[in-house]
Amino acid sequence: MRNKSEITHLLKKARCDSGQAMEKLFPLIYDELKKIAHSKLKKERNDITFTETALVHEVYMKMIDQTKIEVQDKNHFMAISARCMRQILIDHARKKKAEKRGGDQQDVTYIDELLKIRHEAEELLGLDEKLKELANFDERMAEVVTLRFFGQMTVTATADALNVSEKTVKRDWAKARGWLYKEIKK
Amino acid sequence: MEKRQWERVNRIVDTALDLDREKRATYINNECEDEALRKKVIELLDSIEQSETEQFLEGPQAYPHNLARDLSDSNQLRDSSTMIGKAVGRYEITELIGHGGMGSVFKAKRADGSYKRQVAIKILRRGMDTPSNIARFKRERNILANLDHPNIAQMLDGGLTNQGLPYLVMEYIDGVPLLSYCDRNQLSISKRLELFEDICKAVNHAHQNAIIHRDLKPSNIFVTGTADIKVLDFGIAKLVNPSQNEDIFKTRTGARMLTLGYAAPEQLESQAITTATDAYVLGILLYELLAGQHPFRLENKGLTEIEEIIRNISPERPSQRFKELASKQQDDISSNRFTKPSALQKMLTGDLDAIAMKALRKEQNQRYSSVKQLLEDLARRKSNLPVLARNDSTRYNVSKFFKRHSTGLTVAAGFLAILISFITFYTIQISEERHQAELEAQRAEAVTGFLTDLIQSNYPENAQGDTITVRQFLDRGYQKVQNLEQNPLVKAEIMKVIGHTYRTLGQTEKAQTMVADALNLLEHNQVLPVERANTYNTAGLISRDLGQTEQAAFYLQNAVSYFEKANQTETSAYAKALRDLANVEKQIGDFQKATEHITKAIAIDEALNGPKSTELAESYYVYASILRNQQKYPKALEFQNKSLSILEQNIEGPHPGKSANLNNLAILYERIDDNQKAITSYRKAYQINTDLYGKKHFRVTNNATNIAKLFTKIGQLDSALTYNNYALETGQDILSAGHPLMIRIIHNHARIFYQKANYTKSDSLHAKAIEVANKSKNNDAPNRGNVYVSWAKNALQQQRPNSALRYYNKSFQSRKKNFGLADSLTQGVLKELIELSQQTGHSGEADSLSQYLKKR
Repeated sequence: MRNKSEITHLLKKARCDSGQAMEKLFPLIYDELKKIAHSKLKKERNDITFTETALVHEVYMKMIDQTKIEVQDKNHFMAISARCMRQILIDHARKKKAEKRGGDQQDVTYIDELLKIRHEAEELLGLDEKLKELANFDERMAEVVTLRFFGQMTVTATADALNVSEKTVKRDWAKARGWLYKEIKK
Repeated sequence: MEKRQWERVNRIVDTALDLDREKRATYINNECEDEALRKKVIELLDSIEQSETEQFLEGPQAYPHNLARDLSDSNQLRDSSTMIGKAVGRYEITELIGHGGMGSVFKAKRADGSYKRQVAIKILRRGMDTPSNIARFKRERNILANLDHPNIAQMLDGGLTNQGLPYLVMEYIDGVPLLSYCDRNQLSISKRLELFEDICKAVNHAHQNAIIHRDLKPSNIFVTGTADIKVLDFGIAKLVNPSQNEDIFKTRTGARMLTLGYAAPEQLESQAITTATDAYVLGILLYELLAGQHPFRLENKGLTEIEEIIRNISPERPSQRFKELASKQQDDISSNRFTKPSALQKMLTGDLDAIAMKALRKEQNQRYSSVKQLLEDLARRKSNLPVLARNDSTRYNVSKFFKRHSTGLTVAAGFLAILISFITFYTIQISEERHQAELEAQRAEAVTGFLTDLIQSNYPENAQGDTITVRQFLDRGYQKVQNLEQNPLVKAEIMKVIGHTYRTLGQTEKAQTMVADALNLLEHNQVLPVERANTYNTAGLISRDLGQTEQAAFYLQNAVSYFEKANQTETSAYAKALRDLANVEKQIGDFQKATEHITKAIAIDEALNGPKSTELAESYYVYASILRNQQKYPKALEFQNKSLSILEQNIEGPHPGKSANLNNLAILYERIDDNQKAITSYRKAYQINTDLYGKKHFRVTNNATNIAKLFTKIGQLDSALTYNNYALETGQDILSAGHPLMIRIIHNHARIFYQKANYTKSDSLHAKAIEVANKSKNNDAPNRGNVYVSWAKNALQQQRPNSALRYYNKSFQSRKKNFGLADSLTQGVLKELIELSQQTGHSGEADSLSQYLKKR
């Protein structure tokens, strides 16, 4: 992993030019998040208080130099993490869905949990598809959903990260959610 | 949606969201020039509202936590990837398939290339630390390797790796887990059941080789590309865990490792694991295949709670579980079964519910004792035979019977009318002399009731069409059962049911054949004496209905003996057999035995059901009629009254037992010439029956006839005429042509006019009575003898001796045939005939008739 200041620099840069710095930052956070997720989850499988937000925070603490950063940078980092989280989960869900030969890898888990995973995988892939569709005609709305849902970010943090008003976030969230609901549930 | 349209919808929705409801509607109507746009806007607004109410995508439930957690499992794959390319025994590992608590599974091939097929190698995590453990592992492995069944993944080999880890080589299965396979291919319930049967057969095969799976669960059952079932990991749970009960639950970290959702109660209680354990888990599997739901609600429950549920909470019936789901879920589940929710629910209700529930009983001894039994029940269900899992009620059996013969069956509206007329006919025959049969008649009505239900529920769309009679219905079953290759006991059971139905419908001969066949089957098989006793009891009643009293006595005596053999002498069924026997013995005239048996029945009924039970009332009823036949009228009255008072105290309102007692009471009062009391009792019986059955019912008509007859006897002719007119009116509506009761009514009418000295009218009424009797199926109807006698008397009053002579002669012939020469009334008619012959100058005839006179 690159050192903290390097990443912090990239993060600050990414806020201004959303192109190159972002491209570099995304895989870094993705890897770190996945790595921590694994070790974390493995240790705390039975800990029901575990949350994904806590994970992202841990990654954040680990990767970013806290002394050189503003609130907006943090929210920006969280936003990237949310996108990473989305990607990680979707990759995993895809793998789960494609899994053919169950073999024996499952006998340590509770079966109902497994069923839930399968179910969640399918639901999540469905959501991802629709989210992509939504992004085609309203990118910001899709972003709001990614941050709010996958990053479990607050309205304020989301507004900050996307540089829009809280009212817009609320409105976007309501409309996007309504649209997704209509597409998925009906 | 196009971006352009979205922008328009988005803009309108945006504004609309800021408006209150009323203004919103107006705004939308103004903004949306075309209907399509308006629809889109409203749809989105509705969805926004709904998604908010449901908190869609919000809260921890919405987040895919399980999926996130599952990430850690896949992470472990990296650690195992070092094995790839390594050799284990004679195999070379090519790929990691997965891993779990027991170890990791790899895809491998034979290193020397001698065996082309791919194999799966399971390398166990746990080391075999002691020589005895290793020996045991090898022994078990050999047993498993001998398990050879097309639906069981074959164990090929096994041994210890260089690191001392045990490994097992198995057939590699390229397939899809069972439940996903079924859903993905939208398999119907019957297709699913076929797969399930294959699973059961595989498990049963293993059980016959003394191998218990111990860890059956959907993830261990695959369906291959050729749609074949493969059950994986047979017996591995035991092989890996030397001390069978303890370790199976625990992972190294101490958490319960067993997939709790698929654990039987005894597994949680560390009790012995038997084949019944596998049978239980198959029940869960069946449940999920059918209802799309796990039988227990284990979501979001802690371990303690889950254990509690598995140990103590009975699952709901699959159909009920399904019924309680949200309609969206119902739609999904049923469409995965290629049907509609209502159809699916209907399909599950009944046998499938019962089978799943029996498999899931908590107590091992209440479950299917073997997987074979479960398979047999499934087979029975398929051929619409009664399943073990359902209680052995007549209603169920007969409903099964009708279902079995539903193919090509359409039911006409006339069907029910025919059916009911059969039952009515039957009732008439028995109530002529044997009023205890009231209770049987009640059963007949119960049959009518459920047949109505059955027909209405099963064939609503076939309510009109070809007419098929119950007779044809049963006849088809009659023939079918002869060729039935089945367990003889099942066959006997069906025969009994068909026999019973025939009897209820008055088809007594056929009933007898059926039940005799059933008895024959039972006699040639090892059957519980109780089973035999019950069938003998039925056979006895059938023979009684046929008038074969000696045969009936023989059967009922057998019923009694078998109950005694089975040590079932303290049961109501035994008391009933005694009661039925006593009743038949009374008919034969063996009053001593009848009294002996009914006394015994009374003692049992008293001890078992107490002094106020309806059973006791029935026994008293029979005892009273035995006493009546012995002409012990005062004692008969005592018991008749006892029987009646029990019923009056126990049962509120009208009841067939009460009217039967009142009717017999009236007969007794008539015998002791207490005519006023007789009339009172008859009237009470008449009232009760009117309340029970309405005015137009056979029994009411019958009561009215009896009252009219008694009034005629005591000379109250106006009252007699009132009741008889009533009987005549209703009788014309409800009785078939030539019905014996109709003959009695018209005959009674004729006698009333005879007493009124209106001989012309009486003459034509007698002629009418004979005309009706000629329409009877049985044109030697015993009643004809009585009609002719009184017709003869009427003719004499009309000074027509030759006609009288002809009528006496007819009466004598009829009585001779029906009641025999020894009968006192026959002799009476004979004497009158001889006398009249002599008076009218036919002494030759008189002489030849004299030979029939009984010698004093």
